[in-house]
Amino acid sequence: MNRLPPQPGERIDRARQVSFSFDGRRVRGYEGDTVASALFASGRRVFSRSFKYHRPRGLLCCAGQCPNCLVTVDGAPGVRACTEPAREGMRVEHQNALPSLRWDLMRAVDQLGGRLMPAGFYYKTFMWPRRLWPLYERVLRGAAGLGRAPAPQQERGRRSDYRRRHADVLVVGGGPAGLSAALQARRLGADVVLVDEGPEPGGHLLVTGAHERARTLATQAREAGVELLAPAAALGYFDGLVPVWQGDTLHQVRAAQHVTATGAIEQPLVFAGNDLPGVMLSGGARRLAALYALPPGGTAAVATVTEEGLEAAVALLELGVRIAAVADLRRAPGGAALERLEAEGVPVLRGGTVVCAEGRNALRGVTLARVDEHGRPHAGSELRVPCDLLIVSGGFAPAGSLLAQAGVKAGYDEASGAFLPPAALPPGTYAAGTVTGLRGAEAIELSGRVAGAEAAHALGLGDAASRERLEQDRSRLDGLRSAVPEPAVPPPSAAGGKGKCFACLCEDVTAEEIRHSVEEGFDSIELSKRYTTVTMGPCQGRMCQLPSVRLMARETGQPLADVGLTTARPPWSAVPLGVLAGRPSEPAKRSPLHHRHREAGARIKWAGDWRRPYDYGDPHAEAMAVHEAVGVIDVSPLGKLLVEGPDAGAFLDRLYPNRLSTLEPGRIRYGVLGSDAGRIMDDGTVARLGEQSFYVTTTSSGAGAVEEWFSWWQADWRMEVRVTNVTHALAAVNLAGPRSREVLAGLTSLDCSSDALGYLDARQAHVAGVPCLILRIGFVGELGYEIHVSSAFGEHLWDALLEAGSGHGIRPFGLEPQRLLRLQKLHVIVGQDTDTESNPYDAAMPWIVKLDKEEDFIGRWALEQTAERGLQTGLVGFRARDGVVPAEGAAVLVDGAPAGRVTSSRFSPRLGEVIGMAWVPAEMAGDGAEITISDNGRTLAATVTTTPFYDPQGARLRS
Amino acid sequence: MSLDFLSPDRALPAGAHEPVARSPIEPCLRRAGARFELRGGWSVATGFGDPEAEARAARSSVAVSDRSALGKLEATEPMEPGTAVHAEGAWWCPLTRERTLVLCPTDATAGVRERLAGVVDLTSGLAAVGVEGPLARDLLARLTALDLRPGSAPVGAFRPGSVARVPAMLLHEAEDRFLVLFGSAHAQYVWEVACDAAEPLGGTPVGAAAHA
Repeated sequence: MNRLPPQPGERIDRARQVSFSFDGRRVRGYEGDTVASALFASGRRVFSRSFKYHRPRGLLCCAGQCPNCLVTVDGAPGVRACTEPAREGMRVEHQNALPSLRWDLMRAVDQLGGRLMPAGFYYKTFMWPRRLWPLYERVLRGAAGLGRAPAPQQERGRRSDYRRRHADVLVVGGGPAGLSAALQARRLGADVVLVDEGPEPGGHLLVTGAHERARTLATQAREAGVELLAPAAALGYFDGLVPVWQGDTLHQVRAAQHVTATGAIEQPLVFAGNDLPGVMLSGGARRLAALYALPPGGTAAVATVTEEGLEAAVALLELGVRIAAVADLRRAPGGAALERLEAEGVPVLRGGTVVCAEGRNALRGVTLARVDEHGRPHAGSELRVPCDLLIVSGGFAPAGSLLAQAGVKAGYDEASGAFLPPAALPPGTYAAGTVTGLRGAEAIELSGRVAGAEAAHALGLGDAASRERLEQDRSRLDGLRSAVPEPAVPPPSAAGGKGKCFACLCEDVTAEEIRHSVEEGFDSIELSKRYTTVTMGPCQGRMCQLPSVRLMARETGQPLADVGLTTARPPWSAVPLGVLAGRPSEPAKRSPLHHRHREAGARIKWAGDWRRPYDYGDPHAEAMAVHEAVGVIDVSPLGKLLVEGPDAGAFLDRLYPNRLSTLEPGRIRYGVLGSDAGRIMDDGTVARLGEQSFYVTTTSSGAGAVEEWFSWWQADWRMEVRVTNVTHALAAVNLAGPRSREVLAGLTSLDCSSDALGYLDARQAHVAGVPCLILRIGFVGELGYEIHVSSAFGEHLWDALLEAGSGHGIRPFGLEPQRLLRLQKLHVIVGQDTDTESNPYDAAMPWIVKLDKEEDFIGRWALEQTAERGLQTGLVGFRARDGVVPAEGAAVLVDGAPAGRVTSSRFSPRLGEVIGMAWVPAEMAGDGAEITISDNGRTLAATVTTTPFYDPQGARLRS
Repeated sequence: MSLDFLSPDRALPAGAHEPVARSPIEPCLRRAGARFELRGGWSVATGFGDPEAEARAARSSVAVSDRSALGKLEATEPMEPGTAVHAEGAWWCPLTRERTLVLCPTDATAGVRERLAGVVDLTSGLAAVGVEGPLARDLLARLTALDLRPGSAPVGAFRPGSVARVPAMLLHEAEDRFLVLFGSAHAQYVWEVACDAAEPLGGTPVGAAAHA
């Protein structure tokens, strides 16, 4: 391995090796390495291919900020190699290159397609012929992109977990300011979480010779009880909720106070060839050397606008890297670093910068020159420097995205040449460190301590002494806010040299394309962002926001302050969608008999939020068993409400359009629940259990809504009534068929004769030893009983019924035969045969509305209007004459135009014909009317009927 | 007509029929190899074959148990919302200022019910899952956004909220022990989600023996 001698603060453990594969080849590194550092040590310089032009890209920031090292790790795409710890046996692959990183055929796009594919090309090209768009789309998707999405997760397959974390204080950023803030808040008694993106908290201290201080602060924070989440990314700010992605966990951190100490991000320079492997930010170069003992290059040139660039040059010089030349844009730089470089004989070009880089797959040299304010080189000042490393430092942009999401608007500060947050922040929000524009180690750490103390005090923690100390710290901090040295704002882009000059590395947006966007009228940064997609890539503007704003200012002639920043939106860091999704589990309701259905071979399907048996393999035979012998269906999902109290009857009278207070105890009445507008909401039965007690059933999917509806009106009317949802408490089965009475009678001492237990009677009795509520009703049109029982005995009752019915030909039946059976009776399914506009009159249930009720009821006025207006459409039955079952939803045509629709349709083996229900115009809603149904290109003839197809007098039902 | 059909303890042996009340989680427990005993008319999972491992989970990580057989009675009993009270061998949990959910041992249910007014027996309507152990909060943090830090939810705290994305109520029974109550139709789903989330924490389902 090509490593430097042990470095004082290095993170690697040279005694412990790890190995992993990259594109099938074995790579060895040390414990503590990142994937990128291990690959770099193995000699790799090209880490990825760019998004659009497939240009080779190498390490730039080594801090998880840029898109240059995205790889696929163990099938997960878009992983930043520079922050991903190297683990034994991991499988790392390149992405977005074919066939290999070294030889990428799609590089032709860079050579040939650049002019043909400018920013926004997809708005203008590939438009013709229109029918080929799917092909174009497939090709474009294949050519661009950020790796392949992994296979979908399976139900209960674990890929990530949510973890909710409530805290007093959340500190985002684990540099000296963040660590100090967390420590101080914790010492004052707050429950503190600290989030840092790096593999190890400490920020710039780790690479600038202050690693001991960084590690001391981190240790103190841990020992004090701060929960440190690292490496972990704060993704956004949602009214106090901050999702934090860490490995396979999405922490949802909700804190009372928020301290942002996200630091400042070193910016690249914009010049021709600025994306070549070998062009590296000063911080990236120092990280490689200090943390992983890797020399970032052999011969380096330096182009900087900051002192940090010079310091990096000195640090590398001391490690044996040859510094060939330095260009410092500042006219009069000074300081120890400059003196040291000049003492070593390094040529320094004051007022200069890099104007172009050369190389194809790696940097071969650069041209430095003195430039004017527009980045144009002064004639004769050019200096060509052969090198394999260019260290750039284009200044620092405060990482204010999370603050912006919290409602903080950054303004342009001429003194520092940066967009900075204002001094006054929203309540509960604090900022510390370089994100506020502060410089200097002491000031940065002190600002964190002040923010931590302020956050803790806002929670009522601390005492008089801590408040006094806070005042002292504030005064000291004010004194440390030294005047910022001459701000050196680099030109938007350097002129000179050939080749692409990238403003945005993620999306391959060049300075030229920003200019074009302005020419085409996209002359604000927000419009240009949408047109060029600058700042919309994986770096989320960390590397390209400031360069693109500067370019926009130049092209529009606006001051930077007027151009402003683009809106900061979550996620602040790229995050796998699977992490946001969490575990792939879907809340499912299951009846207590569910396992019995599975054992019986039922086909289980979703029905609302329930998992229900659709059939047991032969829906027609199941339906015939109900007609000829006895069937049993699990109707546990029915909604079930207890309505109790002195006003229970009056309460239901106000809710339903028919009378329920007149119901005798032990009797049942059908009810249709209507909205204020007289529309059908739900239906079911109402059984009176006692003087002040009613048992209301609803549709399976309507239970929650009906309970809410009841509770809503109860809160308004304040009647003496109590509503309890007992849906989950009770299993229910419908025992139906001509032999159902015999089966039931075999299990209970109750007199089941029609005289004692007649149609629409309700009784309580023990069945197979368990107390049940028996409702004699018949949705499926045969003699039948709905038996409601504690769900703890659901299995017991089901087993007992099947056993007792075995001599009577009993057979379980599912939803599909139930739908057929009820269709034969023209029994409506609310939500299938009705919609949100249906009213009881149009739905052929005028008898349910009692407009002569003395009491007002919900929807009365609307129903009066409907009754007065007369029918406009009608829900009817039909017999299809052609033997073809039309699709549910098929159109009913009048004069060739749609005038209604089919809501239900089946072939009935009992009747030997195709039957259905449909909405038709009122004039066709009479017996014998002929209708035409258009179904998927076919035209079917049908005859209307308004009487049930089966047992129209209900003799079997009442038998 | 009474509401006896809601009460599992009103069952009576009848001829060949010996009614056994079963938890809505029982199918999951059976698949996981649970052993059962009849206790108070309920089929109760007593363990999964390794009592020591189950006890260890409760001591050192997190144990998940089915406690659906607990008596659960909603009654008219005024209480201040937010905090449950343990008295007379039962937890009295305020649902509203007027209505209280009483949680009592299975075999005490009938007796407690007799003493209450306006009772609706929700014993079989609510499934109950116990979460116990030093990592109990860690597991619950994966299931609910409720703030369960000791300062926010001390012992006795009773909170309505979403657990595993379904409506639930959560009772802080003892220092590291919580009881989650939710509609019994969601029981298998919640049990699976809880066990899946417990696994990476070293947690495991346990029987009544470990819980005791």
